[in-house]
Amino acid sequence: MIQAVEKRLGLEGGEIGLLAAMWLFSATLLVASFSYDGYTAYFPQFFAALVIIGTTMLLFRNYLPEPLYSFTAESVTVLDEGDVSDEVLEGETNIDDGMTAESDTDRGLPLELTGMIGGYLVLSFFIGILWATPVFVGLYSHRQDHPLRLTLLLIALTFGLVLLFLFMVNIPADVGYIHEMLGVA
Amino acid sequence: MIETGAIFEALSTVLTPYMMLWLVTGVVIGIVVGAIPGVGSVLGMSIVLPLTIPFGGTEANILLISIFSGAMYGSSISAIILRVPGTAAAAATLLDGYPITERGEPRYALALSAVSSALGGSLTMILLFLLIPFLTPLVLLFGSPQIFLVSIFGILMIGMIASQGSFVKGFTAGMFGILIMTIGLAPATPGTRFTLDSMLLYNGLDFVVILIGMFAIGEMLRASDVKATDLTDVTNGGSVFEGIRTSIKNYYLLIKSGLIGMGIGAIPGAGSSASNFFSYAEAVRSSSNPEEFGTGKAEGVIAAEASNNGTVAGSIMPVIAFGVPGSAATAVLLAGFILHGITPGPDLFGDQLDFTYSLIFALLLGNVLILFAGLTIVPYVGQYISNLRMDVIIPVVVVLSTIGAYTMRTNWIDLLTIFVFGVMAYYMYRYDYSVIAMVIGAVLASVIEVNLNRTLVLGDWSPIIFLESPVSIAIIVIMGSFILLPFLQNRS
Repeated sequence: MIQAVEKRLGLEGGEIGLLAAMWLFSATLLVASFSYDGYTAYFPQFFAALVIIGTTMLLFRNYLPEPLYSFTAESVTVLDEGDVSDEVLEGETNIDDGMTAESDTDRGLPLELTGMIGGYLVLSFFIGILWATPVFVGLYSHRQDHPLRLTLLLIALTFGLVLLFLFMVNIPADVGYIHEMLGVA
Repeated sequence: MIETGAIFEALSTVLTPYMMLWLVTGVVIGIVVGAIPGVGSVLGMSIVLPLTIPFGGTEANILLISIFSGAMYGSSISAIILRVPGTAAAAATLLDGYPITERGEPRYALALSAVSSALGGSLTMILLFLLIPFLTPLVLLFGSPQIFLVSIFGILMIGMIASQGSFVKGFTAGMFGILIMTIGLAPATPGTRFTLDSMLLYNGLDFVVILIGMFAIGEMLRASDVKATDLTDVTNGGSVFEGIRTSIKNYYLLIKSGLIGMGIGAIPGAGSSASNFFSYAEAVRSSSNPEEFGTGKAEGVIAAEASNNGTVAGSIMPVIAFGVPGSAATAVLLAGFILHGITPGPDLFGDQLDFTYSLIFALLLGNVLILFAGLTIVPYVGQYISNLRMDVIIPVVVVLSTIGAYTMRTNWIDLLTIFVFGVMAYYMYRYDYSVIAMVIGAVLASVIEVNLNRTLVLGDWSPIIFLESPVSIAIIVIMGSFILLPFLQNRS
């Protein structure tokens, strides 16, 4: 099913998902905005309409007639950095906003790290960021095969950083939803 | 006319031990984050931003701008030592910097970089200082209609340059950034929007949290397989003194490259990644021995480094004058302004002129610090900073991002926000959608909404008001030209 959509649109699944999410979000806001009056409604309506037009053009860009296809899909050079950047850099490195040649975005989303970050945020909500931090850092460090000393150092460092925020900015980083439920927050 | 009162007030603010502490801290953080490949000024500034909440606007923004400036120099360290630039700002530096290291003279290359960065940065800061009185009348021409138009223009231009794919990608990303900020309390009219009757969404999404999600979590997902480079072959030789002498001997190239950096930095979306190549290309073009570039020629390092630090002065001009950031780092800086109640535009050239001068003086002093650190400490410890492993950095950045986002409002929705926008940023990078345009759209959303509302009220809800001033017409014409550029390019 997904492969059929990818083939039909001529786009990768990740890009289709990104555009579809933006389209759905904008469409939802556009529909919901009709329950407001005047400028409160016009402003989101205007920008939601622009995003819907943009995402629709991008999703179906391979079906657009020629002038529109070029406008939507082809790159434009505003600043020509000269021939040096392409020629001299060729074979040297692959630079894209600070990333190195070894950072390869052609692979998929790093699911393990994404899952661990998601899990850390959920755990933080339930037990508080302070207590969730050693769990996340310990698990991450274990999965990276770090030596025990480095794992302990990272746990101590990140725990200390959260404590620093807790005392400096006085935020309730040591309590979560469970504490509130138990009435100990 | 030069406002001496504001200048003395700024000097008395900056030249205190308390402010110097912030300045030194910022430059040190900047050099360190700049030197680590895949980290850089934007991430460094993003995770420090929430920590500045308890402090005043001047010290907070001096800290942020010092990180920005320090990172410009710091990014050259890994380019020279490891052949991996800390950020794209030092991409051209490696072309001649690394061959010098291969010759066994990394200290010489690092000294070239430190002197060029410091002098290029200082020269352009002095120029910016001298330009302030001339910018003031220009800034005062800008009212609500012009601020609205120039904000939209900034997003369009950044979207166009930063989206390597197409204009529509950049435009859509920027508009989406504005749209997501319409959730919650409407800034121009009474009432809330799209809150799902939940108090968690009453104040909408926080642009600082979106910025942390996209620049910090997104970058960590993207950088998760960056590996440290083997340092065993690095010989720590070369003369620091010779580096200073060579840089000063090439003063004309240094000045020219600094000015190129400043000019390009003032263009939204261009930034240091473009300016270091422009300057490098110009150095090659004007050299009598262009074939020597790429083999370890000092002029290559000088041109690239003087220009990327010169970019700082250029890129803060549109931020302080019009509130339009030209790059990701200046978007974070603008977020710092807004977070601390500082409104860019006419105020920063009038009642708050001392704040503007404080930033300039702080950056000037920051360049002195860069010179000191670059000549005395970095040649000896730079390689160890640059070789920090990404698998060690990731958990620290994730924890700092999480606690930073939660600090903003102690609202759990902010943790969900950093996660969702981090994953989104990952896919946007992957498919060449402009993350910077989206973040700037989010940062400028309330400015755009308030100024559009004010303009329409002034014009009795008629868009004709946008054609009543020559400045507005000029902005519309320039904006139209940029939108039509893809059509014209493809036809030719």
